[in-house]
Amino acid sequence: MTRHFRNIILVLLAGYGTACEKILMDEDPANSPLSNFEILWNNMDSKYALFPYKNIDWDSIYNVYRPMISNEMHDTSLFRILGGMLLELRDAHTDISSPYGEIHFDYSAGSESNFNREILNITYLAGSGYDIKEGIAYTKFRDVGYMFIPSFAVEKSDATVREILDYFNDVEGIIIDVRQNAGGKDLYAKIIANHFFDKKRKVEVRHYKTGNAHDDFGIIDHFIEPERSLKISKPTVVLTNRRCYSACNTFVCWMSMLPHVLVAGDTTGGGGGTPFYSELPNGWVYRYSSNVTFRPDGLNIDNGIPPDALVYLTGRDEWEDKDTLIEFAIEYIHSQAE
Amino acid sequence: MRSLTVSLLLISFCVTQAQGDSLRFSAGTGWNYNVILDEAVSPMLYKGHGYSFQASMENTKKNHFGRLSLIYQRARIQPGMKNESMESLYRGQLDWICVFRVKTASGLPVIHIGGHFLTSFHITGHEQWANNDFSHSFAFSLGPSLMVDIPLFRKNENLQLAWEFSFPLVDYVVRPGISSTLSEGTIKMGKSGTLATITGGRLTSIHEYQRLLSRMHLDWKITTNICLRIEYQWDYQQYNVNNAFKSANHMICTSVSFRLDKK
Repeated sequence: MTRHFRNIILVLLAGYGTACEKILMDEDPANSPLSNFEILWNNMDSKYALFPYKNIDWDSIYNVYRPMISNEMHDTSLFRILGGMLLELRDAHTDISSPYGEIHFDYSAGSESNFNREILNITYLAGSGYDIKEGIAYTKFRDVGYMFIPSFAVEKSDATVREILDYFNDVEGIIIDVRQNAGGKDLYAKIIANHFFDKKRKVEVRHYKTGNAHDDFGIIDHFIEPERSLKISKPTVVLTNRRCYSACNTFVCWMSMLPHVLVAGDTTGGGGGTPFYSELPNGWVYRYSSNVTFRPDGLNIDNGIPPDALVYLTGRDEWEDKDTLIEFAIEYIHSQAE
Repeated sequence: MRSLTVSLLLISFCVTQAQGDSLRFSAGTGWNYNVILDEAVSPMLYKGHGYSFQASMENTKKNHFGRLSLIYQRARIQPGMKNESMESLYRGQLDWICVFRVKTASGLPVIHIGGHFLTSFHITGHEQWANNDFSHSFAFSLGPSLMVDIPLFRKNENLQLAWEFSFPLVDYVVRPGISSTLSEGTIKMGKSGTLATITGGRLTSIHEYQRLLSRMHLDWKITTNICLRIEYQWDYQQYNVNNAFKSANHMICTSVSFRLDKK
């Protein structure tokens, strides 16, 4: 009897962890169209950071889209409806992807391209013996150093940036062309930007969610400190267009804080909120803007950053194989050198 | 200065522990299985297994038992659905348990009651997600502990079974903010950095953090001072701070321990 009692105790002790776990841990949520819709809507409701600035009633969005969902519907229909709901936010950092594709907001639709890659290649790069390192095409022409950075998704190292800026040692000024740059990692943007900072400066103010309500925020100031030895104080022009988004937008925000930097071109595309990933029970992955970024002067950079000098690529210049923005930047740098 | 203070505390603790009747050091390795729910990243349970390392120091007196143990675990976890989500889980514990014997009648389980200071961390890394590729949870807890020595094998004194259970009541927890990889303290204080992360946690209790820690081990004495230990640990933790985070961890570990007699 005693032995049986002991054996029962042993079995109970060994099994109670698993048993308690069954009680304490929830099961996976149901993988049904209704469940997927509810999870997406609720998660966006509590975590999406831009509601106070979008002038969108998220509850009314629920009332519009919820009746479209039924558990009998096909996945492709569900995907279109969920994608459509997210498109209401008009935010390219908020999208959804599935085996049927990806639905995201086109932030530059209908705007001037302000960029002609063929002219850049023929007139400015090919004739000047350019080089490419870590996705940065760079060269020198007419006493100006030129860097074309089409993406911040490609890894950038401090050594390479230093090497390029050393190569620009004898020029009057520098052009940083970030047109068409749809973003990547802020870290890579920072590796370039901090070579241009003369002292520690406040570059952005970020509002992070602290609660589930739409206006629950905590604030953190972000600073950039200068790179140790090489500091660029030459006149610098940053060329932008509407395709400049996300990490590129952030880069322009930082650079616009510097007195020796002029931002020229068009207003950037925006994308100031850090995109966070999450997923649904059916395996589809979605992103949403998880915070709001302001420039220290109060500008919400999610709507883009207006340039210091508004410059458009003209048809006449295109006809003559010239890039109006680059020509403007060269003239500006020469005028500053005088 | 801070690291010096911590070092002094650890040294003084070790000296205190070393004053027992016997001191046992053990080290081992094993396997772990995890079920994780982190609502910051997914509504789905992530499950998976990995390996564990463990080292501990036990101090046994006639009516008192104390143990300082360190566990480090690593695992790969993924949800049970069709996508490419995969996380690396790093978790660990530094636990101190101190219990006193309350019942000593021969032939019956020997019960010890006391308290604990438990610390634990979870760090998950999501490989495909660029901006929220990691999440963290730290907890420091105080509460009661129960330990029972069960004389299952009376005829064989070389085999001993013990079970212990801890239930924290007062906790200090550090969790990320809602939809952020930064800690909530960092956001609330408007400062970034390690110090802000650590000091920005919240002092709380069972309404926001629950933990059930249960261990069971079987010792097989090989020589007078060396024994082989097989241990099973079930550790359940639940944070209701910002995004809900639940973790159930099962660990099976084999270790070798060396006893130093003080008398």
